Amino acid sequence: MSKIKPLLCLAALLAITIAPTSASAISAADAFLKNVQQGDLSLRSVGRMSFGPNGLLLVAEPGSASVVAIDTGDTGPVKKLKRRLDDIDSVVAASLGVQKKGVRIVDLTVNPASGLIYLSVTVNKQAAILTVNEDGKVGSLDLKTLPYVKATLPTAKNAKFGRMTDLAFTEDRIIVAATSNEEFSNKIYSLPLPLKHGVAADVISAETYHVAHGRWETRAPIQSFIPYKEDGKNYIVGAFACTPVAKFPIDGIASGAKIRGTSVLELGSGNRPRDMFTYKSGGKTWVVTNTERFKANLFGPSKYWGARIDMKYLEAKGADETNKKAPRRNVKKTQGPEANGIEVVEELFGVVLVSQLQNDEVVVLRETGDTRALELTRLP
Amino acid sequence: MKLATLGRLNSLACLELESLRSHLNRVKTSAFIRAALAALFLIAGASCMTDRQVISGPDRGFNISIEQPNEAPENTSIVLKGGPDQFWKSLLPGGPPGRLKETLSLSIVDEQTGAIAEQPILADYNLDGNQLRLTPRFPLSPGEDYAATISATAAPNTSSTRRPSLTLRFSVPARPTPERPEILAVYPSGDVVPSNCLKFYVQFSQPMRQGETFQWIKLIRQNGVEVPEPFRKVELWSHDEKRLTLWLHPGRQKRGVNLNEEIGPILEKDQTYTLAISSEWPSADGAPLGKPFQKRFKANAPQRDKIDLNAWRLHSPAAGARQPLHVDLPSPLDWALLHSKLTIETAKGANVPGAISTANHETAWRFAPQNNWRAGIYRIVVDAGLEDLAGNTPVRPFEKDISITTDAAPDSLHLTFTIGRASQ
Repeated sequence: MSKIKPLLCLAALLAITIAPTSASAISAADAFLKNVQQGDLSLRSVGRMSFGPNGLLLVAEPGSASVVAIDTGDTGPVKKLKRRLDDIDSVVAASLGVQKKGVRIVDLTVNPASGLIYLSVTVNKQAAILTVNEDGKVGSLDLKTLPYVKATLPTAKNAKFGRMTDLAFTEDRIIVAATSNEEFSNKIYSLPLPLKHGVAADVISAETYHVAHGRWETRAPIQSFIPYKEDGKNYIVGAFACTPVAKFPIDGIASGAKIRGTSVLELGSGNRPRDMFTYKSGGKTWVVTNTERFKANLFGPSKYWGARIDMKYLEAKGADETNKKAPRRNVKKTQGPEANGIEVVEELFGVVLVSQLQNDEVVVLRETGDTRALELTRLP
Repeated sequence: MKLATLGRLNSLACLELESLRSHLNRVKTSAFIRAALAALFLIAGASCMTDRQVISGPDRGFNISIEQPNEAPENTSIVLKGGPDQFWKSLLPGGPPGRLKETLSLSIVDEQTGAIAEQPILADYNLDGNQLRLTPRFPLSPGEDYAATISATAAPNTSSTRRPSLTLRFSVPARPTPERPEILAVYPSGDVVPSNCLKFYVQFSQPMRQGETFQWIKLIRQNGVEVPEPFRKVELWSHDEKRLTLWLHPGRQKRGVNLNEEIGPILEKDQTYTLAISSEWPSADGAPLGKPFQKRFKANAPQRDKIDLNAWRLHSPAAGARQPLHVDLPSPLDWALLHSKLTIETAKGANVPGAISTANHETAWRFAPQNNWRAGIYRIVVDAGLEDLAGNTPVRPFEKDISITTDAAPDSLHLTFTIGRASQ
């Protein structure tokens, strides 16, 4: 999953602007990390991933409730995957020297700066980060040599909130959503930049509530989110397991705060959002989410499907268009105004994981019969 | 070092070499590579071994060794030596990129078909004079078969279209059969739950294989019919990876959620269900549970109210001993949260260290202090995050009606109790 936001462009531009007068841009470590460790990174586990600028790879390490930021040095130029890579799970397993049943691809992210695809993988009882280049050649990230910092969330002692459901880089912070394995609740962590190695003592954590489902307000785990800026204020827009999309303000929150979100639409029942990102097409900005449907497939040939939502829905403010009045996707109308601005994206049928390369070009892990393939596809 | 599979390895190598010879006879090969490969000299086994088998050739051959440390056979490396100097010169830096990988590669053998994977294992290469060492980047798997391949096409002046020339198979010894995992407990431990129950905890004796958890677990009605899609398919494991938090899908347990309205709740009042876990679920080490697990329970009326602390019955021990404080609860609370959301402190706010336990199917809470109780006033601090089986807390029900305005909820609540002096 990749979440390079427009704000990042500013950060990257700034980083480049303040770089020494040499041909090379400033490194991600110099730009965004503090107390950088050099090599010998050992990952106990791997989870969601996301790219920041300058080749900065963010990796969730659930086993230690930590965010690991790795300066990959992978800064381009862009070389896109040339052809579909079939049965990617077998390819990954063989690359790691194990049978197919011994590996699990946890997440996928593509570096927008280079097109290199990164896969977080669990292999038997270990963790690995693999890469796939333009020719479909598999490599591995050399954790023995790359600069990194590991910022541990302050929950590490009991790790109840150790399952990080999503993470993203913004212009001044890294945001992590984590869910509890005991309480039915969710926390948002805000880690300031530059990211420091060690226990992240100065993070802000907040519990989120949102109104959904008519009159009932509830806590729920955020499945995926995007940072969002409106009228100069910072928000995150989260998709929940129970399918509302809700907006939470994150400026000026104190640690331990309980943030009440505003539901801006309902995707519809029986879906589990997996990834979110935005892109522009046809004069509109769209929020895309791919979801796993666990009821009968209403929309196409796979339980994995995707929708795009007109960004204007995120701007909803009044009581007549939010919370209990938030529009619901009409499941019988998949396109047009009657679908409440939520359209099924056929290009995302079967897509288990998706990561944005640039605007409408995405790298996807797609179910193809009994196997799964890695491919580059273009959104409408 | 040891050669655990010498006999098989050599016989396989022989077969492959025969294949190579016939292959060489069929294709036009450069004079150089014909000379080099016809003189192939294969030594199977570790370099420190004296036992070796000459496959063919005079003194100008290749020597391939499988180096497998006794204490960690998964850290196997492959070493290629010998052969003509011209061959080794072609591998020096400055030559065609990827030459080392083309020369020597390692692949896993499919356990079902016996086929050698086309995708080679990721490895690091070290070229030291006339010796090439291949070290896999990730440990090999015990019990698996592998194949090291020397490519004829790697040598100079040969066609790039030819098949690999020589394959040497070997095994990484299997570990002793791992201990079977067990299910130690499932919470709620009682046989009655509210019909809007949110979750179960399944406690295993060892870490289980993750990534496929939900294929092993079913919820079955009393008529034997499986409840469709009852779980929220997010694997939530404890820090030690031995405890699974199994959420009944909240979207079907909450009122007003369209999923609940469309296909109904998971549990229905007065119905009996079985939580069934397959005997085939393997541990992270690969040993299956071995026997099926079943937990039968009945669904009662839903619980939709806040936890009422006034209904708790406290039984205070006397000072001067470490007898536990007993708290009787009117209905079961969440087992895990009973261990983390209740603490004891003195009237001045000092934490009282001690051990927590539960009993009577999570309707009894016990706190045994680390040190003898001292007479005085104490408090049970109840964190607002404590939940009953349906997610209701002491400060708010799981589902809050937004049409009803309420005061801001506190972060914690207190229950006061007194430790009296022991009677003489």
